[in-house]
Amino acid sequence: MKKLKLGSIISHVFLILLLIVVVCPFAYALMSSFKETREILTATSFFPKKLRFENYKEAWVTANFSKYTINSVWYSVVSVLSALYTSAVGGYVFQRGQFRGKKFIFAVFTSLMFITLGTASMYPQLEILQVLKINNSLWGLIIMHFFAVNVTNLHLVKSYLAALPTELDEAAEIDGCSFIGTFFKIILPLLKPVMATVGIFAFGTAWNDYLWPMIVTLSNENERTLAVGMIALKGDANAAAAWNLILAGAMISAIPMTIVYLFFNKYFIKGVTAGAVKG
Amino acid sequence: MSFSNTKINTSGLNKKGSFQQAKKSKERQAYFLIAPQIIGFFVFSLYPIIWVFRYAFYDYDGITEKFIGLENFIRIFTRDLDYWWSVVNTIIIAYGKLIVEIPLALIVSLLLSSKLTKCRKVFSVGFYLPNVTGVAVNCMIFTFLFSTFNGAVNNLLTKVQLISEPINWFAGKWSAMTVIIIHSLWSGFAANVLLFMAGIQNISDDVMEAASIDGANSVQTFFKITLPMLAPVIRTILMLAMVNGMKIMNPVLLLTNGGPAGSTDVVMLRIYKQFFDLSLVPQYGYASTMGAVTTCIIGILTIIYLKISKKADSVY
Repeated sequence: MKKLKLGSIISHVFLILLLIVVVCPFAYALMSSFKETREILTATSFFPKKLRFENYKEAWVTANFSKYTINSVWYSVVSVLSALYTSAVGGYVFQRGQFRGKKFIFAVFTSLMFITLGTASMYPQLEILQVLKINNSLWGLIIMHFFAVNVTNLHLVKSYLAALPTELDEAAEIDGCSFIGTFFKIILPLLKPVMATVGIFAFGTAWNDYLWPMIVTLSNENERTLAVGMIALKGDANAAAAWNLILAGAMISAIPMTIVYLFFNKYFIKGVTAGAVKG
Repeated sequence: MSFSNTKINTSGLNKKGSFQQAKKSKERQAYFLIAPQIIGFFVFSLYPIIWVFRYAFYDYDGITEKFIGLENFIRIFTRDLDYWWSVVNTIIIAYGKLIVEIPLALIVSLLLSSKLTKCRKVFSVGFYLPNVTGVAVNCMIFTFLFSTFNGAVNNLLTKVQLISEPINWFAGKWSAMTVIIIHSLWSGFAANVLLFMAGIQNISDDVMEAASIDGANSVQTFFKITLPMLAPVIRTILMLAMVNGMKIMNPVLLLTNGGPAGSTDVVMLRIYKQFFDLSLVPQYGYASTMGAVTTCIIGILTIIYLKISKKADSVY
């Protein structure tokens, strides 16, 4: 009995310490976002002397974070809708469709996970966006993502559909429903759980996206998202950074996402494990 | 009863004709639905690959291009030491951290899966938090924490008297690499914890019960049962690490931008800078060569890994 308790205590202490280590950076940043820059730089104590909401007001109005937030919101929402549609349709077509080359096309799409150019493909892709005259706006990104093949989401929906019985499809077909019709009338309503997972994941990815939104809004400050705007504030590494504003901005970006996460963490976690563990 | 006036419509019974029609229509509808992705594949995936592998043989500054054959390749393999250093950096960061990350994730997942631990959800939700706030916020916070003057880390280390002077973390290669690796561990270990936990859940209780009936203690159970049955999960984690590890870029860009002076460059960042750094004379041809060589390196590593893991497959 005593041995069991000791092991339990050690394990709990270890886990609690680890949790503190993981969460501490956020806590410290949150506390500091309420301090004056001077107080931040002299780092007298963990807690702010008094809550300085002016940081947030300043960031919101003067530093344009209100604009950045609106951009982040609509960019994320549209990205989610796009991801839901393409993954649902794609999963359905590859799981329930019958057409020549299905296996081949799916194999080619899956291979995209391994054959990757990384950042080298960015320049030609940007060139294409330039030709289409959408390289200077978040819409260019949204269009690019819509046409792109998201292998993870595809697999997620496809595996989910594989577990659904085909009797419903067949019944619909006998009743004269077309392939596309079956999708909208029968399958789509049944996809709600996996759509929740795909949707939440897509939202998080879009909200926190940095590299492409940065490139696409370099000369278009009006469309910058929160992540891009916050990094832009930091500017030159040697110049005195307005940490009070930067941290306030960071919290404006992080807190909504964290709240969403606390309510929907089931779906975040499902997304991580479903794609990877087979079986 | 007379059936003489009823006409039986037999056209639908011409099985061959209408069945083929239905099949073709189904096919057409399938193609229609995924047409955007097929177009996207050609435009956004295939075309860039062809573009990069073509311009690798050219000298291209964005305006004029000149075919120079293998010159770029000779340059990268004989004269560009910085590129190969960035490959080494990538390997150190991406794979070196696995030495700490995988055992840590394994231990945490075992602790969280065991019945000893209460409130396991609080822990797993808490550990995963960095993945939710995003790379930009995380790196900004880390830059803040690791600032030289009165940064939280320096203050802490000074208080416990591990250092006497504040460390300028981003001024030296290895201190900067340390920050990068710590960030990578901090944000990455939770995903592996979740994967391990899913794998542990898949180990049926019957097996565990049989083991304890046979008198195995927890150490024996771990090495002879849990670990081998987690082999598929470990294989998945290693494969994801292999494929994604070489592509690491955003955290390094945001933490150090390859500084000081390119010493913490990772390979994808180097390629990105070659393409997008406006202070350099554009050399898109050479940048493409770097991209092509890197893709081949990743491909070779993946193939080597798959071959090794196939052999390991036969062990369990």
